[in-house]
Amino acid sequence: MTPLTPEEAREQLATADTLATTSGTDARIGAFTTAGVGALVALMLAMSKAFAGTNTVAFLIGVVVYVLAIGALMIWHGRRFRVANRGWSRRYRASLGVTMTTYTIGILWATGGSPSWALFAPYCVLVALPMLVAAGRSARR
Amino acid sequence: MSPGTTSPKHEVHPRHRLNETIHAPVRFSIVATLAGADQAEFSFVRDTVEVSDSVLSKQVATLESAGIVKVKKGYVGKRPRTWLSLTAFGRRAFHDHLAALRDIAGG
Repeated sequence: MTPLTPEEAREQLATADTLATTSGTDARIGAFTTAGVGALVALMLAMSKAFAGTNTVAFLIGVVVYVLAIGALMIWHGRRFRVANRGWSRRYRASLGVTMTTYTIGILWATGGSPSWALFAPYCVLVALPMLVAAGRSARR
Repeated sequence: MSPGTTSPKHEVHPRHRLNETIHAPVRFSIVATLAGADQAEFSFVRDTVEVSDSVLSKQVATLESAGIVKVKKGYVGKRPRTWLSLTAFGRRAFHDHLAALRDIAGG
């Protein structure tokens, strides 16, 4: 191996710092996807309370729109996303886990307890919140 | 070691701690690019490091065989995609390599 001078070592360290600075565009794409999934899951929960068991046609249309929107978001993400900045995958999975857990609790609450919209609407925001926070953190990096 | 004896302190020059696989300029750039990411698409690394597809493929194959880089192939629709990431071993090796560089840079 060719011996390095201190100056060459400093140059390599500077190169490493420059190259490790990842793409801002991809950070925004990752953040948009994260926020989008959170918002869609929350809307699905609100739609379930509004229509499930009362208006089957509206509910089914809502489910189809939800599936198409999630599918379109995933396809767009897959085509545009070229680099997952360090920590994005962990934040996405963790926030999705919390959102889906609160979504499941919300479904059980909506079907079993008939909560008022005054309580349920803020709960829907709470369902989206972990993914919105994760998106905000991803966008800032 | 028996009580009262001391082992001779053997200072190894930091250049001996440089990772030979990572030390090559193009491979160093590839690993440095991947260090800032969970995973990156082949074309992103190619554009960042400014090398051709064939050079990147060859260097990635060397890094993969050394257990430093993981290669994942897949499709988005009909388009083939190759994702590159550092393995846990690769991340540690790069961390140690940078530490050796810092020691050399510090004189």
